[in-house]
Amino acid sequence: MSGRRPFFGMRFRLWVAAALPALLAVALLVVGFMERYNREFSAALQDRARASAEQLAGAAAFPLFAGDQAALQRIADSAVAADSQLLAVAFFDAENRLMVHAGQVSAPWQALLTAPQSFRPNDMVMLAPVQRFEALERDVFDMGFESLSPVRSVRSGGQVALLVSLKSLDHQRRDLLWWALTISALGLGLAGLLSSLIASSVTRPIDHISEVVAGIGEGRLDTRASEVQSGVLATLATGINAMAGQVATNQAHMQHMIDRATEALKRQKESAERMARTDALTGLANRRSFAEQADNEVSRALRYQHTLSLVMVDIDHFKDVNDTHGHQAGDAVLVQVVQVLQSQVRDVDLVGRWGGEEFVVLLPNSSAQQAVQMANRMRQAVENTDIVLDGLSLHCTVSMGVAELDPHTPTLAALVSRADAAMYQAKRNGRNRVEVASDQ
Amino acid sequence: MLRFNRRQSLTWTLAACAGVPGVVRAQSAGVEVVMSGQGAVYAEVESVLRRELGAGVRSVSTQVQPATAGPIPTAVAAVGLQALRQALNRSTQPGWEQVPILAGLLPQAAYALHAKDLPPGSSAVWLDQPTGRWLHLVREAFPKARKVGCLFGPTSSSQQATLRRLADASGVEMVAGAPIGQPQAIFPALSQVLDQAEVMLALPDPLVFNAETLQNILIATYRQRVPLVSYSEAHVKAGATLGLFTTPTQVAQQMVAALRQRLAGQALPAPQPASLFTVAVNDQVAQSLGLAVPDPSTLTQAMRRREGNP
Repeated sequence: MSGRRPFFGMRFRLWVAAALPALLAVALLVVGFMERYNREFSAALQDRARASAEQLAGAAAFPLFAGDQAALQRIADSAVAADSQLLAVAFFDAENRLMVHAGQVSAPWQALLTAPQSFRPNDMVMLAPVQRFEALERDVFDMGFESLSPVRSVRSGGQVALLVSLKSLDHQRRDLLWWALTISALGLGLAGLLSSLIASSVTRPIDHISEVVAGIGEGRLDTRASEVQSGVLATLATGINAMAGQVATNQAHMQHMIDRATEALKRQKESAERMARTDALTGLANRRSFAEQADNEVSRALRYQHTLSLVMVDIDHFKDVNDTHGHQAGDAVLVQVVQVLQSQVRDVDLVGRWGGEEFVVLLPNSSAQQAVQMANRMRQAVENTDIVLDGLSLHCTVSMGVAELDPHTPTLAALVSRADAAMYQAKRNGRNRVEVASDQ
Repeated sequence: MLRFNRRQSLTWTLAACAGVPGVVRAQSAGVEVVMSGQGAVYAEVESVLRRELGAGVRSVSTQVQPATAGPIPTAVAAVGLQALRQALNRSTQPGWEQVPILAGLLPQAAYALHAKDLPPGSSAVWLDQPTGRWLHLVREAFPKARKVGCLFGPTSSSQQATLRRLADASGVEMVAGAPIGQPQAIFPALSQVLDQAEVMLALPDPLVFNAETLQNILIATYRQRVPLVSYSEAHVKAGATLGLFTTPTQVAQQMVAALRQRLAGQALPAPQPASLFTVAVNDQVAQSLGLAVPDPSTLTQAMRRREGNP
């Protein structure tokens, strides 16, 4: 299903939306934490170095005063041996002359005093003066001697210089960074898992609702969203269900309307067709319709070598009826005559209106002789029929020509033409008669 | 007050004209006291001067009075080196050339720097003890000691010959370290002295004994188990076994005696070392060194007797 990929994308985006602020916050925290920790650790290392230097200065005060190089050397050696971060220790006298040293330095020893910054950034130099005896109270003699400048400024102490490695600082910084990154990654992973779970509570209903919408789109209007599966989007699901219901109802209604319209159209079409094939006044097949059916009968008669006869009927003096009693009376005569004709024919026989007051009757499986008998029955029946119209009783007769299908000229036109000729012959012979077309 | 002062001035002017011919400006009865500072030490001195001299103290200030303001005092008491310098500067002004200055509460060495520039009749009461008093103390406190060590720096070296002479006279051998001209020389000299001496004297010398050296000197003497006898009460508190010094009150008392002479119309006595003194013992150090040192009052009395001043 093509809709699934974007949902994964949405889930991912929801996760990013939740995780990005957290990522930024964590990044800021890590940077801030590192910065602060660095500062504090540097300060702590510096404090420790200063404390060591002051301790060594205290320990070295008397040996330095006494010029006891061996003692100073012991102090320096043991200090370097005891502390792995302490790279070197050097003692200088009051004139900054190197007294003793222990450990290794990458530059001349004197550089510890003259250029302590040159050891950066890998190492740090910490200097401490061999301290004055601060516990001594000021004496009245001191007050008097303080003004004697030549002797006042003389110093008898010295200095101790420590070279402290900052590598541990780097190590700790790196360890801390890794630690912070690991913790952050774990935290983010956990947060990602949680946010993914929370996101799924939104995406799963969306997934479900999307499937429902897709189904509806494909025409399955009975598809409905489950309220349980829709979870937090239950309201949306209800809305979609209502919409789908509405669409289904509308479609059924429209289908009903279409069906009705189609049916009406069909009826109109059939009616039009019927009207095209039927004579409106008498309800008989009109000339075209009759010709079509008659052609079929001709074909069938030829194929099965059956006889087929046709009777051409013409109402005698019909023009007079029209002229005397009006067209309405003429129409009533036509209808009445047709009813009489129809009452006389068989079911298989076909009656049609050929035009005006002319009618044709096709008689399958009937020879000319049989047709004449049928024609005479019909002529007789018409003659015996009283046509009542508005209190007026009319009497009319018909002239008929009978022709049988000639296998030599087996066409409807020829058949009609011969029957027509026979009918005119009947007219000529005094009307109200039946004449048979002469043999071919 | 003003009137009182004028009357006094007249009296003293007459007296001064009789005793010191050539003075044309009016002299006021009383001493102008100039202090080098305002600490407890100076308050102690001031209190003694006022109590003992009463109206003889005309003014007490940390600044000398302007040269042209008011009558000239009988004498100027300069307490401390700064005060001495102020008084000295003013003494070149007209009318002040003959006003004697009594300097007090300062070392002899500091006074010596300015002594030749002072007005005639000026004098001093030094903080320094007379050299012989050191030997008296050693004899009283450590009767069995026969070798007394001492370090001499630029300031104290002048006492070396005297000390040696007096030591010889009292049957004690003086062990002197090599003269100390720079701090690095202290320890070799100290080692040299401590190798022989049974007692060591610390005579005032800022190059040898100061805040930077004292602790090491104390450690060195303690390690050699040689008691240190110092000129400073602070040293005793810091670990010296014995102290011989003069308190500000004692200095003031000595100054009072000199000023009384002047107020009585006589000249000031000649510059002199401390006549009064105090002995202090650090019992804990003495005990640590296994020494049985007599108590300070016993020592003081015995020393006075030796000085012929019981």
